[in-house]
Amino acid sequence: MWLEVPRVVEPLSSLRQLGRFSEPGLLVMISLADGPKHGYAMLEDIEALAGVRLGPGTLYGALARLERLGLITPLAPVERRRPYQLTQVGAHVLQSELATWQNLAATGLRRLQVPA
Amino acid sequence: MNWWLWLYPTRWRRRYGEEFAALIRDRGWSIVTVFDVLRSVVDAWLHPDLADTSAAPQPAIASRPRGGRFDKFTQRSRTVLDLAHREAIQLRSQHIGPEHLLLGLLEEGNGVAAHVLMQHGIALAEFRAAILSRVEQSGDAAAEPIGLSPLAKRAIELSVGEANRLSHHYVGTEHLLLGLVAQAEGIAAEELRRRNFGDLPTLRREILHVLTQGGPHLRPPI
Repeated sequence: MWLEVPRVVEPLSSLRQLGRFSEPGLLVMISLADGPKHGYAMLEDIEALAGVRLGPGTLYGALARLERLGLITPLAPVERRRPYQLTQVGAHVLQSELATWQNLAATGLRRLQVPA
Repeated sequence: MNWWLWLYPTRWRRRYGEEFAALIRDRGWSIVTVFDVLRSVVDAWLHPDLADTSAAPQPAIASRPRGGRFDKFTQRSRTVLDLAHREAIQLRSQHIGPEHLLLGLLEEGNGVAAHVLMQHGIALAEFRAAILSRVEQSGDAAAEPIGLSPLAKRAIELSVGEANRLSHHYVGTEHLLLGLVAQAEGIAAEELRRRNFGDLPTLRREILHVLTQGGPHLRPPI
């Protein structure tokens, strides 16, 4: 390759390795936290939860990456719509990711001197 | 008409085409959607391996039905095996070696083993960097599901032995750690020794101490 990308030593429990798909990836995992959903249900859920309108292409970019990392797994399609499910490792990764964000949020609020 | 699906690479279309088209049908087209789809077409061509489902970590040990080789493993040590599997894929190794098992233990982070390791100041990020600088990486991510290396198999056998020795009816993360230390070959064992963490009798005592006294941050072995 003409471009050597330095390998980042990042714990696997960080979704940062997904680049521009890390935020959609996190939202997808949060959406799947309470049970399997197919694409349409995920998009509706994410919009209601976070007010983020993900495009279908962005969604599938994130789904493919999460599947590749073994964080989610596809189930059998129902009328052409395929539900996805969080794997056990995925649940673990989501938990530590959310804990990181929780710490970050607490620090930010403290610095703003807003009581958490 | 789904002619636009033909913009995607064949493998992507085979894997995702049908469900993706159903999603677009349900959502309807808009200008934003058009650009989003075009962007995803470019992404699919740039990352053809993403639609290669055979490369995903398939047989997740933690999700396997009870029974068989890992029957006596606690849920937590199954998670460790899965994390080790992912570490191996991520580090582009050909096998799951003892070093990946050790990384799995550190990353799981809540078991007795992680507790003992952290007590000795062995932290995930630093240790991961040390392993990363020593493992040989093959050029591409392994295309096929990878299995346990002979050394890792031996370490797991020794873990089961350690559990038996302590008359424990389960294989927890503490036994995995004992197995890794008992199996004294390889990068993991070397790195542990280098950190003065490799004496089996001492470790057994420490683990028994943690198991009987509990640690400050310890959650019960599930």
